[in-house]
Amino acid sequence: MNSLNNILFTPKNYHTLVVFRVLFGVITLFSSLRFFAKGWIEELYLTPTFHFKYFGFSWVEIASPSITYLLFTLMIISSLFILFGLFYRVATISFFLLFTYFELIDLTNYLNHYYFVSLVALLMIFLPANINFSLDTRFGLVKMKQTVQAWTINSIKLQLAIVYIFAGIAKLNYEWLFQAQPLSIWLAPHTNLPIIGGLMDEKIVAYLFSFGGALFDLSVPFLLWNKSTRKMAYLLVVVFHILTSILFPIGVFPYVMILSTLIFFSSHFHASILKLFGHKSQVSEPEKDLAIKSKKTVEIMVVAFFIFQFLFPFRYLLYSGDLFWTEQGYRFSWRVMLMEKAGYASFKVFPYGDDRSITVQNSDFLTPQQEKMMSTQPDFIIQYAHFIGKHYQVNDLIKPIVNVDSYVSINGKGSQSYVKNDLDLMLIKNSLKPIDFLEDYN
Amino acid sequence: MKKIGLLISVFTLVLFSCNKEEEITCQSDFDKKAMLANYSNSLIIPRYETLEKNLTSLYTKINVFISSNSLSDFNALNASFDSTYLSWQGVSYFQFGPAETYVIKSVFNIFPVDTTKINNNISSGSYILGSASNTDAIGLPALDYLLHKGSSETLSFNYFTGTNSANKKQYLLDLVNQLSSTLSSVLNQWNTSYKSIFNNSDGTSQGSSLSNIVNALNLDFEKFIRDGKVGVPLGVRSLGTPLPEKSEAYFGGKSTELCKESILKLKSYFKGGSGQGLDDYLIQLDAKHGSQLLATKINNQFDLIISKINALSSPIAEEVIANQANVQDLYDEMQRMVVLLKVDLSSALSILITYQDNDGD
Repeated sequence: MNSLNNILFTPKNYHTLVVFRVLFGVITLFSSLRFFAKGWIEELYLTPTFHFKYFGFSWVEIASPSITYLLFTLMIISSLFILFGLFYRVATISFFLLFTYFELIDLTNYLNHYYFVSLVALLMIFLPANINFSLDTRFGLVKMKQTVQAWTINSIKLQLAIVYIFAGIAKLNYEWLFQAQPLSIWLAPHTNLPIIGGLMDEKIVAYLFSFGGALFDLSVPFLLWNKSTRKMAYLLVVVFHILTSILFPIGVFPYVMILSTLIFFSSHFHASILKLFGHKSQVSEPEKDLAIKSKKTVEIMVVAFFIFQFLFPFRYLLYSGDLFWTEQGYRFSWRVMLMEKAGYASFKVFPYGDDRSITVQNSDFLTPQQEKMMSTQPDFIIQYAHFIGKHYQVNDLIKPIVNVDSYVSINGKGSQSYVKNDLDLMLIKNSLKPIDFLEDYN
Repeated sequence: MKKIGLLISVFTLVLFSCNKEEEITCQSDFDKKAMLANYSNSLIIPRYETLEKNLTSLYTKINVFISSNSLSDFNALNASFDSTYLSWQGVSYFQFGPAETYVIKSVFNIFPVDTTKINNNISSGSYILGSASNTDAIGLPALDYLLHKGSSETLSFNYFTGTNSANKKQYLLDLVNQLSSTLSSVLNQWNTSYKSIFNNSDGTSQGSSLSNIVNALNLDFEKFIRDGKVGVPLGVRSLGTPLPEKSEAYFGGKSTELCKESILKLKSYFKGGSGQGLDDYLIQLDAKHGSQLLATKINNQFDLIISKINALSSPIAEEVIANQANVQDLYDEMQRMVVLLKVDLSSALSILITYQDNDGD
């Protein structure tokens, strides 16, 4: 228990946490502005007539366009306030709520790195990252301090480590390691890259990337934590993520990781970053904070948060089906760039319950991105089936029937029939129970 | 720790070991740029040029007919129209780049047309064909309507001798003029700036040439070929009630020929004509469908579709009433093809079937 005590409550210099606050502000600010500038508020939130809901969050609705823009602007302002450490507590709460709200609007937009940002934002609410180098202290809203408890920095480090480790564990599967899939498919078209391009369609390169990627994910948190390997590990982080950003359309995620992992460096390093911004400080042996308040509460909260984090990605073990096929327990588990899955789903609705049918044109209701996500994920298919069933319903007395003809290909193995044929999808409800409406995966 | 370090350095070494001096060993076996050049030089531009030639000839034939006013010239004009409509089929899946800029598909082939609107335009004599309100009163379908007003060629010919005949003939000319000028804008852009952009954009991301080819092909096949030519007339959107009047070239009764031409040309496009095409690339990537080569599977599916079209004995508009099951068979095979193109092909080529930019992870 004493070592847990050390991990949580050893006093640390404030620099690391404060720099992380600034970086988090910069990352989220940049990412939100980019989102705004690319017109994605319109495209992802306002254009779709139908939004896919998260299980348990079907009550989250999109607001009117003007309110949506207002909320998004508030989120941007919250990032800005976090960056400068002004009204920090309010800003982190508001950022966490707004960011999470925007994620919950449509399941189509789910990304692991958005989940990561939500989790870190939640942590940030409880971290005193404004106790120095902040407008809160300059204006005297918060008392300036020199030390923070170790858990405030360690919890971010652990959160980052979790991302890598689980991403690494997820790669330890047959197709990834022994068939070099999906990387064989994903790398082969990149023969146009300078210098290394010509190698990209070599099978051996796909294997190297597969093993290298798994090894990197599994080892880099430890290499970063260990002082003697830290610099080399960070170099690997930079090389790895820049490479992924060249090869794959993964937006800001690589940069989120490159900047976030700086937190593994020492207080001296972070003090020197602050110095660049004209903040002169001494890195000294941190003072012992004698009167640590609510030690027990912190202990319970931090431990509970991370026990959840460690268990939740393993929930797929509760389901017997193939994880890639059913995707039960796939999300919120750091399965990043793990499979190439493509699908096609064509729906037939029988509004009168007899043999007269309409083949639905998905583009009438879904954006291309929504259609793409819908065709490969069972819970999307059910949600959408219910939506179109209701859309074509003639009156309350006649229950429409909805069938789907669907195909999915995983890792280039070729399209296979997905949802069992001739099922009335209107009779199937999404739940956490194991699903039984899919064909077997070969 | 040492082992990990070693593995990582081997990994990094291999990654960056292919430097300039070793360039020869780093060549990929498949030249994507050559494939793209084949597409632009041997397929896309020549097909546009054929269409242009046919349009020019159609325009001449209309003028000849206007001055002679003879049935034989009217028949020659009709034959010229048929070959023009056929040559359109081979270009309809090039809907990216210049074709998208000049929305060529909407100008050429939106059906069914609004016949009332066409008749009103003709009787008033004042219209702007390029206006948004006239999108369903123009193009090849409008010509199809005007050239087949009667139940026989003679009766159709008579239409142009009756009242308002000058306006009717002028409308034909204006329609063809609009087609020609749109096409020449598209072709001109291909020949001046777009060709080199297309040939050199050999990545896989959104907007790369391969992604354009595949996305446009998918969209066209699913929405315009499967649904427009077959599914909608068959009644897949209308509770199984056939809608013959919504078929392509409804008035001239050429829907089956046009559909067949469209598939034949699509197959040859997939194969890259006589040069390097998507099929060769798929073979190079060793893309499979089960145990079969994906390229073979797709080619066989094209043949199956063609055999289903051959099984139709009359225009689709008539078949959906008389032999609905035959058209349903054709639709089902097309549906299987959509799966191969949208799931297997796109997946194998690592093309994101999406028409919008987005983050991923």
